Formats: sequence, C-alpha cells, structure tokens
Amino acid sequence: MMTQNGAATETPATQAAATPTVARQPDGLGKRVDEIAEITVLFPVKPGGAARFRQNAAKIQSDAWYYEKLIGTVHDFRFTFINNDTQLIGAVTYDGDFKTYITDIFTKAWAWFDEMLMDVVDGYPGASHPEIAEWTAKHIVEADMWYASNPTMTVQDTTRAQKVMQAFDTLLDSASS
Amino acid sequence: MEQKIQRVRELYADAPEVGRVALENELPAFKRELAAAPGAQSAGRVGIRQGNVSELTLIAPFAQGGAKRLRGLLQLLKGNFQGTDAVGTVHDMRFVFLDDDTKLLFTTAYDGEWDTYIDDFATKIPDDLDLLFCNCEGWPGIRSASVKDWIAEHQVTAEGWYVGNPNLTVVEARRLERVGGALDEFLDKISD
Repeated sequence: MMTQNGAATETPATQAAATPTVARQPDGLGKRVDEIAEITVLFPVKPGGAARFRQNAAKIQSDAWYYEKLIGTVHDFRFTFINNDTQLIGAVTYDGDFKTYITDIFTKAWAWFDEMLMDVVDGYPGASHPEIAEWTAKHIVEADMWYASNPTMTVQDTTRAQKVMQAFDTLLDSASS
Repeated sequence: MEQKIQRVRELYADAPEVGRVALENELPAFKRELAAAPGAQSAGRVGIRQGNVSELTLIAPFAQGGAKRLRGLLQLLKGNFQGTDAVGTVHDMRFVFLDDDTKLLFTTAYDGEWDTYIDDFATKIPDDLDLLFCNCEGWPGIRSASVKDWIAEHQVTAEGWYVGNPNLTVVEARRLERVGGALDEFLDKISD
C-alpha cells in the first residue's frame, strides 16, 4: 500500500482483504482485477500503413460504435502509432475471460478488424484466419501494473444500473408532478 | 445535431433531384448515425476525448536501472496501484515494459481535461508519481514547473479512441455501482 506521501507502510489485514487482487487471466494473456481485464498489443506496421489507417480513420471511428456495441464488453479501446509510425499499440479494457473476448471480437467484428489492420499491420492474416487468435497472442505485451477504478462493474452492469437510475428519476418526477 | 442536419440540407440544396430525395429518405438513418457517433474532441494539450473520457498514451525510455527498480516495486505491490483511487478521475491505467525493458508504456482513461488531470495527480499523489516515473529518463519531478512539458513530449495521441460509456465519470460509475448493489438487495428481499 502507498500512503498519500508515497511511503510504503504496513497494511492492516482488513484493508489488504479489501484491496482487489491483480492477477494474470486464468485462461490466457493480460492482467485482470475482478471483472476488468487488459490486453495490450504491439504490432509491426507496414511501410505506409499508418497513412492508410489515417486515410480511413473517420470511418474506423464511426464504425467503432456499431461493432463495440455488438461485442458489448469493451470499456475503452485505443490504437496509437509509435516509433515514427513503425509500430501500432492497441490497448483495450474489457470484461471477463480472455478466450471469450478474443473469440467475440473476431466473430462479431471481423469486418472492422480487417478494415483497420489489413495492409496496415505487417503479417496480419485477416480476422477470419483459423489462427488469428494465436497470431494476436504473439503480439501481446502483458502489463506489469493494472488499475481499474470500478473493478466489479461490467459494461452490462453499468447499463443496467443506468436504466434503474433513469426509471427511478422518472418515478420521482411522476410522484412530484 | 439539428445544426448538422440543416448544414447537410444546405449542402444538398443545389444537388440534382435524386440527391435531394435520397437525402430526405436517408435522414432518419443519418440522425441515428450522428447520435451514435459522438466525435472525438481534443483532451487539451495532448490526447483525445470521447464525451467525458480522455485517453493518455505515454512512452518514455527507462533511465539506467529504471526498469529493474520499477519492476521490483510493482512486484512488491503485486501489480496493483490502489493509491490511484485518491485521484478520483482515473477509469483505468496500465504500465507495460516494451522493447526488452528499454521503454515504459503508460496508458490511462480519465475524466475531463488534460491539465486538470495532471494537476490532480500532482496534488493528490505526488510522491507516488515520483516513485514510478523517476525511473524514466529526464523525469523532472512532479513538483517541477517543467513536468507538463515532459509529459507532453512523451505523449502520443491515439488515432482511434472508443469509450463504452463516454458520458460516465468515475464518480458517477461508483454511484451506479451502489445503485446496482441496492437493486440486487431489493430484488433478493422481495423474492424471499
């Protein structure tokens, strides 16, 4: 535990029990705390690949809303080009198990991944390739530190609680009108 | 949104008739698309934002011995950094060691504006930040006047940024967590 002034202190057992545990995904790569997991990938980029991605960036961004809602377990996701556009970082925050997520993204959003990565990432075999999961796993770099502010809240839980709040507000409005 | 639709109508005012008819036919779908796809905005000095949630992606070379020190510290903390709860605006964050432990990648999703976010870290957990980032080359210290320049120099803006609930802040999410818990308790009680 770190205190406000950064000094390491002895942690009472009760507090230690309340601190969420960060661990490797039981069924794959990446770290997880309660329900919330991370995957970070580092892909090699083809010459001119970043420019091709940028030309298509507006459509990719617009399509994100459709495909990510279809997947339904993603809290946030980014692609960032680094090292003079020679590498592409992908970082996602998602719910649940590794294998379920990997299967979900390439079955539900295969067209979006092809739109983003084909002719951009060196060696990308296509989302429908039988070994796409293995290929992706080779490019994963696991985090050494992982923090999520609400580790028990899945995307689905959040949506449900938002609906409850809206219903409650409507109820209060009706009661006061 | 109405302004955007008006703008498209103006653009198509002198289009051939088939185009004008097509626009009217397409308007319902067009409105849905505009509503579903909030545009990315600047998060401030560097980075982009969707709704209320911004991204920060930073890559910095490790100082001599820095990777070893940081990895050792993170192992002692078991990969956790719960001190971040005190900041109150951080959705998630990760540290990743890149290129044979020569570079550190730091990514985070946070609420609001870049300047406020850095100020929050500097005010609420300054020593934690120095413990972590002193392991990177040239880190001036969180209390230094040049710390924002250092961060901006090492930050790379994302080309694509998606957020599942872009209008939800960390504080609101915590409130919703309590609402969800209360609802479960209520449902349990009435089903007894």
